[in-house]
Amino acid sequence: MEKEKDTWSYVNIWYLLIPLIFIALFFVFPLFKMVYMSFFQFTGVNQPLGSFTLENYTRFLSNADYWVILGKTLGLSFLSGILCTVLGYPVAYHLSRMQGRTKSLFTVLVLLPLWVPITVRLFGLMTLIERGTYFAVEAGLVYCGLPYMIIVLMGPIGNIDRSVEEASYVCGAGFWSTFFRVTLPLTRKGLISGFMLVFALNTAAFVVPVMLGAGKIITMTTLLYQQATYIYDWGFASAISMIFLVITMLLTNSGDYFENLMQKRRDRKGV
Amino acid sequence: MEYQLELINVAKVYKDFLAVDDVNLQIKKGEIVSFLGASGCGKTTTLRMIAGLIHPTRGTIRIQGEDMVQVPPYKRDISMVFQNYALFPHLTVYENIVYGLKTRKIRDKKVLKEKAEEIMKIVQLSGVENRYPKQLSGGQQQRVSLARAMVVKPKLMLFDEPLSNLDAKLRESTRVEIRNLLKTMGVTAIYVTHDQEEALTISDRIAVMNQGKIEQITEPACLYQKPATSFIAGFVGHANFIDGVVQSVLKDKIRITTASGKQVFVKKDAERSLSPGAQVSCIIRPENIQLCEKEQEGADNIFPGKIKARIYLGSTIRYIVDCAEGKDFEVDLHTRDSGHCVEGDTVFLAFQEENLVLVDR
Repeated sequence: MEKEKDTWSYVNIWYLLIPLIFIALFFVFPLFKMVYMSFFQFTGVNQPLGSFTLENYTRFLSNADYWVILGKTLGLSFLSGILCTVLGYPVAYHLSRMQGRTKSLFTVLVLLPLWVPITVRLFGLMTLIERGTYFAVEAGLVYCGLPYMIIVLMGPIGNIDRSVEEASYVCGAGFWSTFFRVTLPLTRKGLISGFMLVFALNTAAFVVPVMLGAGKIITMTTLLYQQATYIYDWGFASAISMIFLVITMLLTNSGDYFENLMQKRRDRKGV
Repeated sequence: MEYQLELINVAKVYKDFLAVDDVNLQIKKGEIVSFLGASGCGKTTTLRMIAGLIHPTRGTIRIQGEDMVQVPPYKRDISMVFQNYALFPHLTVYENIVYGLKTRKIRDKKVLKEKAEEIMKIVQLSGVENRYPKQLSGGQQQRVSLARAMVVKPKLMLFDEPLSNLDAKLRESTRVEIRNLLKTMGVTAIYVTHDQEEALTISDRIAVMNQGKIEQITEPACLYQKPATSFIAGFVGHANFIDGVVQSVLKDKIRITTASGKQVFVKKDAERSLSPGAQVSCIIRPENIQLCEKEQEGADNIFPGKIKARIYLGSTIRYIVDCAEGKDFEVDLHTRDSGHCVEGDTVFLAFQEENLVLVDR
C-alpha cells in the first residue's frame, strides 16, 4: 500500500464508482433476484407461490431429457470450439505474418461479418443449408465463433519470434515438426483462451439455435426461453439458468485451471 | 578438389533492389570465413540463402559438391547461431540442445544425454540443463545456442552476428573461444559480422562485402595491410587517403602529384599497371606515419601540417593533422614515444614508400 502512494497516477479510485453502480444495478441485482426466484414456484404470474423449495432444481436434475439438452448444448459448443480452432489457426497464422496494409485489409475482412447483424448473417446461411439439423446449428455456431477465434489467436502467433521457427528448420525439423514442437506449444495460452471464448459464446448462443435449429434442435438457451416466455414458469427458468451458469462457469474456468496446472508442472521441472 | 561450400554466381533481387550481386565463393573443409560489411551490404542475405531460409534469385549453392538450391533448410545438415539466439523459450536448456539430435532421428535417451553432456561441458553450461532460456544470462543463452548448433556436428555452421547482443568484454573473450572451439571440432563455419575486429580475430579468411558484392576475400593480415579498394581500407581499421595523378613511372616506384601539388613516391604494385596521367588513390595506416617536429632536409614524402587535435586512447595517442590535402590525417603514436606535440603545433608527416598502398577507388 505504501508503494502505491509513492507512485503518482491518473487513475482515481472514484472513477470506478459509475461502472460499479451500473454493474450492481443491472447485473448483480438481477442475478441475485434470479437466484431468489429459482427457489420458489410460479404459476404464470410474476408472484412467487408458496414457500422456499428445491422443487425447481430437482425437477431439472431428475429428468434425463433435460440432461440430454444440457449435454447437446455443451457438445455442440465444444465441437464448435474445436472446429473454430482448426479453421481459425491457419488464418490467424497467415494474418499475423502479413505486413502493413495487406494485414489491415485482411483483418477488416475477417471482422466484417461482425458488422452485420447476426440475424441478417444467419438468413444468408439459411439459404445455403437446410434448417433444423445439428449440422445447421453447428455451422452457425462455427460461423459466429470463427472471427473471435482468429482475433484472439493473432496476438500469440504474431508474438512468436520468427527466428525461433527458423532455428527449428535449420535444426532439421520440417514444417509440421516445427509446427507441433514449436509454434503450437508457444501459442498454447492463446489456444486455450480462444477456445474458451468461443465455447462460452456458443453455449450462450440464442439466435443460432432459434433460426437454424428451427424448433427441432433444443438447446439450453431455447429451453430457457420457452420456460420463461411461453410457459411463464419463472422459477424453473431461473433454476435452469443457475444450473447452466454454474456448469459453464466451471468449464470455462477449467481452461485457466488446466493452464495453471501445466505451468506448475513446467516450473517444477525447471527447478 | 571438393569444397565444403561453393557459391556460384549467387544473386538475390528484391523487386528493384539487388541485395546480393553474383557472389562467388569457395570454402574448404574446416575453414572459418567471415562476411564483413556494413548493414544492408547483403551479408546476412547471403548467409540466409546458404541456410536455405531465402531462395536465391539465381546461382548455385553447393555443400560438399551437392546442389542445395532446391533443398529445404532442414535437409541441408547445417546449423545456425542467430543474432538473438532464437532459443526455444518453452524448452529447457537440455531440450534445446538435443532438439537437433531428435530431429535427426536419434531416439536413444542415453546417446542424447551423453552428447548433450559432452557439449555442455565444452561450452561450460553444466548445471543449468533444467533451466529455461529466460532464466539464463545473455552470455549463457549465447552458449546454449552455440551448443545447440554444435552438438549435431553439421557440415556447415552459420553465425549471424552472434555476439552483437553481448557486452564488450564478454564479446572479446567469446570470439576467441568460438574460434578455438570451431578449430578443435574441425567445423567449417561462416561468420557474419559488421565488427571488423571480430572478423579479424575469428576468421581464416574474410570476405568484405559492399553493395551486394564481395569486394575482397583474403586472410585477415593481408586485408589490413593490402586492402584492394578504398572502401575496404576505410572499413577495416583506420586509413589515411592520398589521392593524386601519376606523374611518372620509375623503375620500382611511382611518382604521384596530389591535388595540392605535393610529390609522393609510392612503391610499384605488380598487379597494377599505371601510366602517367592516371588517377590513383593510396592509403597509409595511422601507425605507419612518422611524426617529426623538425623538417628533414632533402627527404621525400614529407607533408607539413598543423595538429588539430590530440586524442588520448590509452595505449596510443592519435593526432589529427591538417596537411591542406582536403582530408585530415590521422597519426597514431605509442603513448610512451608520443613526444610533446600539442594542438596548434606545426609538424612534418613522413611516409615510407612501402607503407603506402595503392587501392582501387
